[in-house]
Amino acid sequence: MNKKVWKILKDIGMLKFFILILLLRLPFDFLNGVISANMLESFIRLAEKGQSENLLKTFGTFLLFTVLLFGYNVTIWAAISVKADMLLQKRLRNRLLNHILSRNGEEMAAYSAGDLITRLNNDVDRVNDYLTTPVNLMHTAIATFNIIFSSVILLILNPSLYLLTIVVTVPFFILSSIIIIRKIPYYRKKSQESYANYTNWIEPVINAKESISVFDGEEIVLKKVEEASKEILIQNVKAHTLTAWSSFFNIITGNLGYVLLLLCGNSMMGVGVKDYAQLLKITQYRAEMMKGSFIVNAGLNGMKTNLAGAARIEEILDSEKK
Amino acid sequence: MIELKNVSFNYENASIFENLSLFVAEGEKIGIVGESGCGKSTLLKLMAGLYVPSSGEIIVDDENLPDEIIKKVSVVMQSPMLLPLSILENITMGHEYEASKIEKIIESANLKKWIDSLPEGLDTYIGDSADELSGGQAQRIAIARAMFKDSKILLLDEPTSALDGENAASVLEAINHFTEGKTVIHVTHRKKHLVGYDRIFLMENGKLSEI
Repeated sequence: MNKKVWKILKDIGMLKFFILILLLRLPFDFLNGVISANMLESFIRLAEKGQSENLLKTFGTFLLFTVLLFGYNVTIWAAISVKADMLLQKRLRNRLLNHILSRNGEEMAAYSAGDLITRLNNDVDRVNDYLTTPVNLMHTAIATFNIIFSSVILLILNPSLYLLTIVVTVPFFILSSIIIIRKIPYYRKKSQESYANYTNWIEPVINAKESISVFDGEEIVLKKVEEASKEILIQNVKAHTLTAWSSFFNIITGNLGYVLLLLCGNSMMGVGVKDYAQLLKITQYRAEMMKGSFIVNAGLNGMKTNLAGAARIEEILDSEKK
Repeated sequence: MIELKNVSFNYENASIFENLSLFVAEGEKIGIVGESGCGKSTLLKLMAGLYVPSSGEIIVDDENLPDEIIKKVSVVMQSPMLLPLSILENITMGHEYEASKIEKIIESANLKKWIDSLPEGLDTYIGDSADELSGGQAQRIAIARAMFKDSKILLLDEPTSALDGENAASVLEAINHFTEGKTVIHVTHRKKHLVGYDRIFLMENGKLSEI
């Protein structure tokens, strides 16, 4: 977790709560992968032995596990997560508003009204997204857990395929997260500043609508509003372009794995897979690793995007301590 | 010339005034006094074409449509209503201008000394809600804006009500610099600001009576 977000959570007294809901959700993807891998292996083994009478029983057992896992996810964990969402937004907005109201005019004069409004609305939403929205911190942590444990199992089952997966995944992951995603917060921060500038315009324009009419100022007002909204768009497009590049590298990573697999003996047996049942199990764990790395990549992308909001909130809260 | 013919105005089913008639000749200076909330600002906004009368007719220089009336008048309100633009843009509202005209205006509006002291002069950006400015400075920019439009009709809605004595005097001086030869309607609750006006009316219970 980013230290800015860590500090914000600590400031509003929600750090333990978030660690708890994270821990409650952490093994979900990995357990789902384990169920799928073992189910596939079991089905093939039963088919190979001709034990079709046990197929339904096995299916029922795995179905029960899957239902229990997803049931837990959509009921118990979802309820706790919604509560966390609401508490986070409420406490963060209250804290920011109290802080803004308690500061003296001179301290707050450094911020425009539009900037403060943006911090109270958009930036709070971004911190909330960072912590709770799928494909952000929560899923990044879950996917990391999944990668670690799926890797261990894959390493035990088939070291060659494990190495092959690592060789493909790691360089692209580094390329994507360090070179591309790293720049996203800068553009998002610029976008938030442009949004603040745009918001800055709204109140005076509404207040001065009669002057604008009397002095025929519609044209200059529309021009300035257009400039402000264009700037938001430009910064967002730059961030989106980087996100698209990151997705491109994800696809390349997935496809290149199969190319390398072909180069290693033209078949799965070439990398030491014993039988078809094991092949399915192994590829399921490989898929979990690949899927995990994509989610981590997308999660880092989302977190970096939302970090701009956290930085701007921390700036306000920090001025209290100074 | 401004003419009100049996003008009535209702707001949220309440009658603000009924059958009001008034004739203001070209070049005449009229003052309207009255307690807060008596409807004098509403009357001014009707004359400016910002509100549409519930019944009756308002004619300003042969125009009776609000969209046309609005082009004929300049208004200085209680609040200067500035925009987050530069001082120059607030004065010109993005319209073309001649430097000599702007020079003359900022001098007449008692803004020159202050603007000359600013590092960026006329290009100084005014923050949102004009927080950086004093009330007097902001109101003098609003007057400069009215001067720039240079309409034959000037409508003043208590332009000094929020100012202290010194600033109010400076703003009134700026107003006097450019009201010569113009038709002026000045709404205020301070009768002393209407010295030299041709006629003064009292607005009370939705009626206008000359005093």
